[in-house]
Amino acid sequence: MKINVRYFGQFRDITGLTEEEIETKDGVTVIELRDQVREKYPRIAAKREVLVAVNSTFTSLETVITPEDKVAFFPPVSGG
Amino acid sequence: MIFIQREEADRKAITEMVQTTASGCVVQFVGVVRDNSEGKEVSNMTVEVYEEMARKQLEDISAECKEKYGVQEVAIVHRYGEFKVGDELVFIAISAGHRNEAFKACQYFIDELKQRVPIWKKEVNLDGSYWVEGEKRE
Repeated sequence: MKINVRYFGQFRDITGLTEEEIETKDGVTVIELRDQVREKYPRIAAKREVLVAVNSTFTSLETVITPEDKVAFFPPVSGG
Repeated sequence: MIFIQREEADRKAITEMVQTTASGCVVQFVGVVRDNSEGKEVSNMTVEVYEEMARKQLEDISAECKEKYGVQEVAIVHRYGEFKVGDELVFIAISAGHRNEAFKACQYFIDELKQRVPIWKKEVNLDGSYWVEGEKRE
């Protein structure tokens, strides 16, 4: 299945993308998709922390992702 | 009351919005762009936001402030776009019957914002530009 993934902050610079579709297995979990993104982008893999949000929430790493979910990858936030 | 916008906050109007007849105080926080970061000079700053998620997180933090500290109204303005030294990035206004709960809620709000609201700063100086590394969440 295909999952639409959005990138923010430095990850947008690293990937050169604001979003992309990632082909992955059915029933993929957050941690599995994160590993896949790290493998695809070594500069993201080198970051000390990779945050993943599903539907605007920081979910458990074991959460199963479906194609309808809004998935976003980004580094630790620095607002305020 | 959540405002994610390019424009500077109208602090007077926001303060009037949160104040109720039962308010004994309104505590305000203004976050501004400073001219240095980790020993390096800063001339300008870009702020990027994941708006949909930021709005949800800010709504959650506002609700938590009311629940934890019993404050009356909470308003937050967070700006995005291009900024220079001295510009106002953040404005928080919290009304309460008494000052203690309002001060505590304001501290809680800005601390949580820096941990979980998806906003990122890119600082610019003579050497170029670089993303600010946020604090670790876990």
